[in-house]
Amino acid sequence: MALKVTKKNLSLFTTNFSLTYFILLIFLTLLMMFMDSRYDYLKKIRKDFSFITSPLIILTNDSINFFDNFQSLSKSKVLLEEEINQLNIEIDRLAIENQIRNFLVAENDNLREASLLSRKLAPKKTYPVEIIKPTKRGRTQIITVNKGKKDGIRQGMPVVNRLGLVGQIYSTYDQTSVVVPLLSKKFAVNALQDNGQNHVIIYGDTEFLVIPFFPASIDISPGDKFVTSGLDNVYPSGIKIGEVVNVSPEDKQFNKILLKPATFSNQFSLITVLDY
Amino acid sequence: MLRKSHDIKVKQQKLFIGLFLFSVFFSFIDLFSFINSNFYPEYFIALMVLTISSSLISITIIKVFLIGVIVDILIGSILGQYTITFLLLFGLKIFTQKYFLMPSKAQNILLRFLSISFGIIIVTIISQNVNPIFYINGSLLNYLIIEIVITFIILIIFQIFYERTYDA
Repeated sequence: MALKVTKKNLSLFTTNFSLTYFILLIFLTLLMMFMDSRYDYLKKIRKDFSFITSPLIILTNDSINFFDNFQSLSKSKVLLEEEINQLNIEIDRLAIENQIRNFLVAENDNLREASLLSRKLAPKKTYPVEIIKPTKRGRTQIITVNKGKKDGIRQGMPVVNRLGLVGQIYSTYDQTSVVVPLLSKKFAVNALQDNGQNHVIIYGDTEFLVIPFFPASIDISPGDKFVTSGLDNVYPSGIKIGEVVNVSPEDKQFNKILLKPATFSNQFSLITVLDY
Repeated sequence: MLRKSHDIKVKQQKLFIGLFLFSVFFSFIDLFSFINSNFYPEYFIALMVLTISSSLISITIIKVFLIGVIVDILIGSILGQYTITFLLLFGLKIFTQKYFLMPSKAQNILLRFLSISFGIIIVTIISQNVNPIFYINGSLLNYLIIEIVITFIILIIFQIFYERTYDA
């Protein structure tokens, strides 16, 4: 049986759709668009409906602000942590630099004094040397320095630093020399009290310098200082040797005097050998 | 045609209201600002394509018109922008129904994709002409392609929710 095709089924749109309504509503929409573009009705309508839209906008804006703030907070936290790390690294770097600076200041002072000392002792030739090996041989403290015969160092030369007398060159080799320091049994130096009145010979010992027989009739007290006299033609005059720390009677005529050296041999790594 | 049970109808009406509110909320949020991009997925077009093609709620041309006016008031650049888009989408659906009375799954997907593309093109053209602050970063074609893809993904998400109304 052939199907009967009605006029309704042949229409472009199906039955439950009104083309008239569709065209009418399209036309109405176009009219709305035209009117809105000309008179800006949407703004006014939005204003009237703001009691509905405002809470939505506030809600969404608050959510966005919350996420933005949260994001910014986490970013700030990360940045601050990074900054703290950088600052810690910077602190470490500055601490190292400060140590270097302190070392350089100390070295500079040392060099300046050494230079002043060299100038003071001019026209005598001076040799700045560096201690490379302080050792003990038996009961004698021996210091090895980094200059020897080839550099012009000779046996017997006095050795000083910026605070006073260090010792004397004991033996020399091609590249190195050995210094006998003040605090050594082998050491002896002709000295003068710094008031210029009393000549003595000071001997080295293990802990102190000693004047074994100092006339008891001469007043001397702890704190008095002694310098080289220059009479022995080994040491230039005026180099600090040490100061009195103890005066003890040896017998009726003499006192034994103990002196603390003005400097210790290993107080500075840089010392000066004098060609006197 | 299979008739939906009353429970499913109620569920789908609730889903429509939920998706509508979701669309309003997310239309106000510049979700892609996190990647420094100014793409606004067209949630309402995705919702209307789903509603019209899947009969999420019983829809008539007057309802389409009214929904369009409400959406215009909420997020439109001009009064009638979304109304005309929804009406044309509705017309497209009715027109295709004539030729695809029982469309296959692939045809359905293609039809939805074309509907979304059609809707986004209309909305973009109107925005470009009447919205003084309409701005796209890069070429218009790239913008349209990305908008269509993102909106289609939104439609798929909506579709998943829609299909879940038939479960349980």
